[in-house]
Amino acid sequence: MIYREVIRLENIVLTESFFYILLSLFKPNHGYGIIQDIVKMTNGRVNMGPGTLYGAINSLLDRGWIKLYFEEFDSRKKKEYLITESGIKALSNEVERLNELIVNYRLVLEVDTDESI
Amino acid sequence: MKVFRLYMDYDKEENFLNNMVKSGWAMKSFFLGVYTFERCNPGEYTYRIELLDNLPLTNKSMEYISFVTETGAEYIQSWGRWVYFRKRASGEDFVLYSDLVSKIAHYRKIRLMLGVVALAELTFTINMMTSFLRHGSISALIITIFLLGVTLFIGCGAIKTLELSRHL
Repeated sequence: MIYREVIRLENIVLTESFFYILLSLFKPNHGYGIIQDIVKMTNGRVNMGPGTLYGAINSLLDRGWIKLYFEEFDSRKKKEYLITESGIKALSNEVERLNELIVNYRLVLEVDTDESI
Repeated sequence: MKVFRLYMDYDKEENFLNNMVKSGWAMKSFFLGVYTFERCNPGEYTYRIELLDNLPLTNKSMEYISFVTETGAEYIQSWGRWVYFRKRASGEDFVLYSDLVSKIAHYRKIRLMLGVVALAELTFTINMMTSFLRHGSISALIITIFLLGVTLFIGCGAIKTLELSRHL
């Protein structure tokens, strides 16, 4: 089944959604703020749906990669979230993995150009 | 304006609502297959339908609904575990699920719900059939045929959702 593989994959690599949510939580941020920050960072390419964001936030909370920053019992106040130490670690692991991809890509490409010369 | 429709496929239901918006009709409410529409500017809104994890009046669902409305969407109403949202068109697409993993998770949730309902219907159908075979009452036969139809209708919906999630 495709979805099993996709979900298994999610445990190895950070999905784009997870990556950008973590990145937008280095400062306390609420749901709509996260969506807007990601739109800004990606020049409008990633416009995250609220359903996707809500599910991802709960999943990140479960993993302990983000935490609730502030919850006033005033219902008008939106919930804010913040990245945790292990969230920062997960993000940097992913950056390392992505760097490896880029390094290998360049390696192959540069060899190719060398050969063509 | 009132329109009667029965949808098993929520993608098609969404298309129906969004096509109505294109011709200047915004859905106001839904009850037992009857959609009530009011006048709007053509293309004013985008409608989205979603199956919640819990019933709408639970804390979790209320929290989710307010999360969605905080992003600028409007909550229209719920129907069982289904909820209807709409957002004013702003040039940006309004979708609830924007990536593959979450889209698949939503389809799985719908398929599971339809599967459970189809199974329950099947149990009723078998009950009715045994009662018909035992007593030979015509009303039991009519109910059996009706339930069988409902079971098939819902079962097909579940299978269709499965196919959809394969295409993703």
